[in-house]
Amino acid sequence: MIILALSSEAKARLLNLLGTLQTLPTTATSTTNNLLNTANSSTNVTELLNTLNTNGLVDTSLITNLLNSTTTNVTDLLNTTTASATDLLNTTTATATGLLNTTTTATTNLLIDLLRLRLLPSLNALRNDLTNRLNQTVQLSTEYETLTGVLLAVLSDYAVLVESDGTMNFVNLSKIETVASL
Amino acid sequence: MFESFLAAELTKRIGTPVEIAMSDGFVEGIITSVTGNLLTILQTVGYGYGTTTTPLTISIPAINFVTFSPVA
Repeated sequence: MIILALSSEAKARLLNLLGTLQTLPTTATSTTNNLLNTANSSTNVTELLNTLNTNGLVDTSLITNLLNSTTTNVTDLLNTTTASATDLLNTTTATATGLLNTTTTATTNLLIDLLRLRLLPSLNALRNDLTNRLNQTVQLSTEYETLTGVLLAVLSDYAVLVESDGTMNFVNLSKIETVASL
Repeated sequence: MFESFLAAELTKRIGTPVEIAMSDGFVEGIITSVTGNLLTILQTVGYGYGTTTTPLTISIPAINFVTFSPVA
């Protein structure tokens, strides 16, 4: 142990310094507690920022700018997402509607064709006979007139006959009375 | 190539001049529309049925044959 000899004046100063040091932590703690209490009692961020600003603890403009840019970015992102989702929904709806319409039309046409075939008098025998004469020169008689030409095609309810001068006839199968090859 | 049914094939040829033979006569005209089993033409020659000023509607099953003349 080192024992120093001190004058009574120096002793008094040391004691004063010690006393000051002992009171310092108490002051700091109370200031922090006050600040915390104020922060806790703040009803929103703005009040907290104001408090911080008033106390000169933080440059609140930085926080405000950060909050503003965050808000702008989030808003932009939300707008973009909403627009994309709307576009996607619109495209999907349009595609689905188109597909449905196409399917409905195709089904309806198929049903109409089937009904027509069902309602037609049995033309299968005539159609087979004519199919065997494809690309031959034939005479087809109808009630109105007899046509002569090359049989080009046989379809569900008509046959295509081309005359020597290039005239094309669509002959109704149900109106054909006689068939002859020349 | 050709459509399976006469009505469908005639639909493809709307605007084309044709001659249409029924059992007891024939008409000349331009196809204006096809609706189900009905064909509508605007007659270009005034014999046969109806007049040239009003459209003529023809039942497709009643047609004997349809004639397309080669392009002159």
